[in-house]
Parts: sequence; structure tokens; C-alpha cells
Amino acid sequence: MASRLGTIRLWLLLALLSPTLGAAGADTWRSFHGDARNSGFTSCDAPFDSLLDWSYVTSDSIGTASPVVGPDETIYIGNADKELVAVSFWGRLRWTFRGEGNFRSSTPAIASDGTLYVGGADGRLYAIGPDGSRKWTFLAHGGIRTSPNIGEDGTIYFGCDDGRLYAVNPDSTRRWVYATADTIRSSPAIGPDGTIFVGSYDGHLYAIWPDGSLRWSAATGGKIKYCSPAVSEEGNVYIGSYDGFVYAFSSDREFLWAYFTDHVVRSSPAIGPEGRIYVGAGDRLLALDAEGHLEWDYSTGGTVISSPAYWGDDDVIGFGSTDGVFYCLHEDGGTDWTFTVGEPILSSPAASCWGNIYIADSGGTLWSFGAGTTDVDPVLVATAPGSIDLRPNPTRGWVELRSRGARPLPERILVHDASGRRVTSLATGGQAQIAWDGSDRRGVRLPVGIYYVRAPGRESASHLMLIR
Amino acid sequence: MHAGHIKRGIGERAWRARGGWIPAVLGILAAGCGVDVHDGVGPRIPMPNVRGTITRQSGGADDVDVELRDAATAEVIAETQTDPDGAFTFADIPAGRWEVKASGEEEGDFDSISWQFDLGGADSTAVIPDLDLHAYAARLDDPPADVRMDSPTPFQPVQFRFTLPEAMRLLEWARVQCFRSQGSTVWESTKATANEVTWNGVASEGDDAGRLIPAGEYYWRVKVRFSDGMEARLERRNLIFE
Repeated sequence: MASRLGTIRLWLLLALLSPTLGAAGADTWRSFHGDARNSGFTSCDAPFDSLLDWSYVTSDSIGTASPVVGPDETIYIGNADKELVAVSFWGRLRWTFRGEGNFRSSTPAIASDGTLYVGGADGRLYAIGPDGSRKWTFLAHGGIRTSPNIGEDGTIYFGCDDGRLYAVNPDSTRRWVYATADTIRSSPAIGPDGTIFVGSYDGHLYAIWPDGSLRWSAATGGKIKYCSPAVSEEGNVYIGSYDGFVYAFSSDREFLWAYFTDHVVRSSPAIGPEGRIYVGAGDRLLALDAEGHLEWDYSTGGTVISSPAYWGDDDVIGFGSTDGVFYCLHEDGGTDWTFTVGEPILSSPAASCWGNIYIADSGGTLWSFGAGTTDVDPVLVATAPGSIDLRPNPTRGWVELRSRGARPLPERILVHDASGRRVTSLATGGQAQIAWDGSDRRGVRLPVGIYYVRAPGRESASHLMLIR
Repeated sequence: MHAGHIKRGIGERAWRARGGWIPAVLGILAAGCGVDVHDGVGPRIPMPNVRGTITRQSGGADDVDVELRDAATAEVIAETQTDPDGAFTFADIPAGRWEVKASGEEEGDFDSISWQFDLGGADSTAVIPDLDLHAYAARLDDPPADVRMDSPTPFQPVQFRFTLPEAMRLLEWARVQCFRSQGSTVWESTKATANEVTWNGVASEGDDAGRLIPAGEYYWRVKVRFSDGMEARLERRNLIFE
């Protein structure tokens, strides 16, 4: 009983001291490419390295459907077995939803009330409660192999094999449809002024007003198949086409530039700082400047269909390739780290503000990188004694880390804040003791609070209190 | 049968003389030091190792210019004409990837046809399948020749239409190509399977790649590839963007 009371007191203390617990859910990756603009940009921290937390094997293959992250850090992804799974931050299955059509190409979108919307190849848009229960379905006139997007007023937009862009109210009633001349496999993006952008097999990029009327359309020279538009904060829209070009338009119908990649473009562009664009074409990831000039390219051993993501705080780009490798690059095109999953990756990575990257491969496995949380439960982290001795503790900054029993320290030591988010990773060089100055990975002094210090993969942690 | 001559090397013009092997050999012997001699084996006779036939529908096409080009660089390394049966040969062609290209000269011909092939070396022989120069009334439709129109943009693209009759051999794809009046390519469409291609005016080749083309005179044509590997080009047509 005493131990249980101690745990409760500790969690109350953590709740008061945690600087990030509330904020962690505010910037999660809730729809395809992270936000309503499909920007692929996140201000969350990127993982430091290729440290694998866990992998979760779903029941079937996963195509371009990508993981999304709920406010409680639950990860959602669908597969070809008509299943949508919810997996916890710790890699454990929370629930499985079974639909009537496969979800291998549709990334779910999470509404503010936690409802998930996902398209099925059976032509149904599914609304699923945060507990995995079916709320309603909306039947379109063709398979849905695109990712829904949610407007500020809660309207759900999705493209369909029948060539129509649908707008559906949160109560499952149809608001409007806009018919293009061919199949839609491109996922809509929503601009800052509410304009909806979508590409079609008919080769056009469409800009649709929120009332369903055409604002403008622009012809590319090939089909727009799987590439989804990305919209910048200024309203510029970027799209790739099967004519081999990546195009940039302003929201008010102005051609800005085009870059000829010499390959069909299936990957969706991500928007980095200063208007830079990152997109896959052929076997390469391309970095284009704001004027559409090539800054650098990075070759992989396969085709880059995966849509890249950009971590703004760390200036790294993550994407997969059909060579079965997940790549994390620096902003100058150098390799930060890679991880071989062994199956082609068509899916786009999802960012977590708890410091993780989630990526799915076509073999149906969901992978989590970054925070080193293998089989660690937050309660265990908070209660089990750690193997690392910390002195002084509490500390105002500098602390000495020493292995209990005079053994060498593990090669790497992880430091988490009270919410479980990893704040830094310390290389020990296999020494018996090291000193740490109490700063995070960027050298910024950490705020006052409780921190957990542990070895990767261990279900125990030493508690450190930083004071001023 | 006309044997092709390699554009570089010694005595090649002599070998091109019509009349068959015997006069050619006598000519080589008479030329003395002009021949290519292998020590101990006597004069070396160029050996045709690339053969083919150009036809118009089913009959042989006589006196058609045929070029042998480097498939990668399009450099012409040998040229010849077909005999009355439409046959042609090239001799002593080294290993590599090559393209045979024949130019249409009569009404109803393609502008040109071509075939690419790999050759293992001078000891190997390549037999090109019959290449049909007849265009079966394939034609460019729109825009008509000499037309003036606004320069295309993504918001006002130009539509190229053409007719590829079903009587032609099985079509794999068609591409529309657009050139400056000086001849440099500014754009090539993706592989189309329909008789209609849209262009938004964005250049894919040259210095203007990625930008809208400036006003001026341009040419367009259609290049087609058949399922057996032969490629053919329809005549060029001009148009003026303002």
C-alpha cells in the first residue's frame, strides 16, 4: 500500500512539474503529411538516431497509407486486411477496427473530438470513435484510396475513384461533390483560406472553394496519380505529376515555377523552411529551393514513393524507399542515419512530439524509432529503481552518472522528462562514470523537474531532480 | 544489296561501290597499300554484320537512305541505300547499341523510322526485322499548320490531336515533341495511348526547362513506338505562339 501511495504522490508531482505533458498532444501528426495543408512539416523533435523502439506487425500489407498520431500518442494505421489498428506509444495493440474494404491506401484523419475518418476501397468513408467503435459510414460511388482531410469547420474532404471530390459533414450527410474528369487518388490539401486543392488522373490540379465551386484548375502534362498537393503558409501550392514535373502555383492562379525531374512523381512534396521543397522522384529525394532550382538530390537503392517529412527544429528530412530503407537526412543532403526494415516503404513517416518517428512498410509492419522506450511502461519508469547512480541528486546542473556495482555504463544512456519524452541521449564510451551538465540535446539547460535516466531497453530508471 | 560504309577509316568509299563482292575485292587488291592487311592472312575483306530490309507495306522500298547511329549519342557512323528489294547491310560494325534509321521520301511515308539493337561485336551478326516505312495515313490534325495562337499556360493549355489508324501495326505509345524553329527540343510529352495530348507550355528541355516558353515559332511532331520495337516519326508541323 505504501508503495502505491508513493506512486500516486510521485505522479501528482510529475503532473505539476512536467513542462511538456499538456503541450505534447497539441502538435501531433493527425492526418496525411501531418496537417491540413499536407505540408509534411513538424516542429517536433526528431529522433537522435536509428534506435528502434519497437515494431508492430499488422495482419496484412500497407501501401501508401501512413500512420497518424493521436493526442494521447496512440498511433493509427490501416492495412489491406480491412483492418485499422490503434497501437500505443509503447507498441501495444489497443484495438482493431474491421471494415468492409481495405485501408492500405488511406491515411486516417483525426478530428478534434478524437473521431477517426478513413477511406475504404469498398467506397465507404468510415467514422470511428477513439475507442474503435463504428460511428457511421458514408458510401461514395467508387473506391476511396485517398486520405481524408478535415476543414476547420469539421467538414471531411476526400477524393474517390469515381473522379469526385466529396465534402461530408461530421454528421455523415453530404455537403457537396465536385466532379473531375477522371479518378482521384490524390489526397486533398486545405489552404489557409479554406481552398481545397486536389489532383486528378485527368492531369489537372483543382482549387475548389469551400462551397464546392471551382476556383481554378491548372493543367499538368500527365496524370496526377498518387501525389497529393502541399500548401505553404502563404498559400502557394506544390504538386507533382506523371509528366515528370513538380509544379508551384500561387493560390490566386499564378504559375510560379516547375522543375523537371525526368521521372513520374508519386511522392507528395514536403515544405521546409524558406520555401524549400522536398519530394521523391525516381530513386532520388530532391531538395528544391523556393524558386524551383535543385539544391541537392540523394539517391536510394529503390524508388522514392514515400512522401518525406521535415523536422523543423532539427532540420532533418525523413522518408522511405522501395529499397526497404528509411532515410533520415540533414538539410544539406548528408545522411544522418538510416534503418533497413527490409520491405519496400511506400508510406510516409509520422512525427511525434514525444520524439518518435513512426513508419510503415509494405509488409505490414509499423516501426517506431527514437525514444528508446522498448517495453517500458511509464508507471515502471516512475517506480522501479534504476541501475545508474546519480550524484548530486537533486542537482542544479552538473551530475555524475555512475553504474551501480562499478560495472561499465551502457554505451548509451537516455534521459526522459516527466512525460516520457526523451530529452537527450548520452554516449558513455563504455566508461564506468561520466558527467552530464543537465542540458538537452542542443545544449540548452533543461527546466526544473523530475527526469528519468536509464539504459535503452531497461524497464527501470533512476530519478533525477533538477532544481535551481 | 547495298553495303553500308563506315564514315571513318580507310578505303570505305571503295567498298561502297555497287556490283557485289568480286569487283570490290579486285578494287581492294588494285588499291594496294589502301587496303587493310592482317599479317599473314592477306587482304581483309569487310564483312557485313548488320542486315535488314525496308518495306512499304509488303514490298521492298528501293533507294531509301539508311543510317546507322550510335543509340546513345545519335552520331551517324555509317550510311547506305537500300537495293531494289529494300535490303541493306552495314559491315564491320563493332559491339555496341545501335540504331538503324531510314528516312521517308515518298508521299504517304513516315518522316522517318528507326530500330535499336545490340550487337555483340564485329564477329556477331544482327538481322533487323522488316521495317515498314508506310505511314498508313497517320497524320497530324490540330493545331493546323501556320496557326497563330496564345502561348500555352497551365491555365490555357494547347491540345495536340493526331490520327493513328488501326491499320498500323500494334501501337505501344505516342509522344508529341515540340521544337524551336532552330531545331532544339523544348518539350516532349509523356507516353500517350490516346490520339490527344495536352501541353501547358512548360518547357522540359534546354535552358527554359521549368519555365513557360516564350512567344515565337515552334514545330511539333508525333513520335510513335510500336509493340515490336520500331519507332516512327510523323512529319513536323509549325505553329506560332504569340
